[in-house]
Amino acid sequence: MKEISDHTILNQFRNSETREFAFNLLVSKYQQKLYWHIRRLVISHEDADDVLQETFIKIWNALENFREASQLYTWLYRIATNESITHLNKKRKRFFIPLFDSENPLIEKLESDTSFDGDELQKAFQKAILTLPEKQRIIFNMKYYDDLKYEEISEILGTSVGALKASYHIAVKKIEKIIQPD
Amino acid sequence: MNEKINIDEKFKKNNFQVPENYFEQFSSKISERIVALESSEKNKKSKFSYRSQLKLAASILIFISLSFAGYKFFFNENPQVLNNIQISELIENDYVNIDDEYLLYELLSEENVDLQLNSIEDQDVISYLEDESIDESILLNE
Repeated sequence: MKEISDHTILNQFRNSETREFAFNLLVSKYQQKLYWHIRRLVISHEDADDVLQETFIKIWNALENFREASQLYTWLYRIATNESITHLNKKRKRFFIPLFDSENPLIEKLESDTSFDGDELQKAFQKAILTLPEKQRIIFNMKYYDDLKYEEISEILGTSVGALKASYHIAVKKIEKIIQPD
Repeated sequence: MNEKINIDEKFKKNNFQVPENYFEQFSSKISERIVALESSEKNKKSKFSYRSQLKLAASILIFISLSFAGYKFFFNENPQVLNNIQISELIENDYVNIDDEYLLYELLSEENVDLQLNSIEDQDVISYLEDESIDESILLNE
């Protein structure tokens, strides 16, 4: 089946009669991509579900004002990323977790996550990603898993392409160092 | 010797699982939330509209009251005129402070005021002083 274009979805959304139908199309088209992006940042399914719902509520409220100056999916990614960061910050504050130790709870979550079915090396790889600083982790995930271009990541995060390349390169080196066998 | 591990495609495999039918049910879950959100927004708007109307009515009422009071204050067609007896009562009951010296000065400065000072006989003055029981020694000292 041919995928409906973002432009068609947006036009239908602007028409009050097809607004809800268009939004359902948008949810169907992007829910999985956004879910996995969020899930890799917050780790647990329950948190990812909450953040994904909040993301789509934000999208519903703001989509009318989206003027297509940027691509729709980069705009959606930006909202999902911001919502994930907000969620992580709230958790940090709620549990008084110091910033330098911020990812430890996520590693603990990963350790106790029964829905993770990877082997020890896969788990070590995920844990290594979780040791990265938050922004570097987001950049790594977007480049490595979502296969986004640097220009697209730059549009989402508002960081220069040069800085993104450097950050990704450093992230790869760090992860490789961590997962090397003794 | 262990071989160096490189980050390649093999780590891209997704090892996280989601509950069964999660994505199939997500659309309806989000639709329900949006319907609930929209209806609560409508309620808020109608409450806001009711409050706004109430505020507007109260503002108009206050404005009319203030205008009426202002008009009455500045353009009173029937100002209340006090007669001399009422004025005297006000002064005697200390509702109004009158400076006697100032009053006398004002009266004397009026050209047409006839205090009939010349027509007062000495005997009248003595009688008045006797009536008021004023000590003569004080008068002499004065």
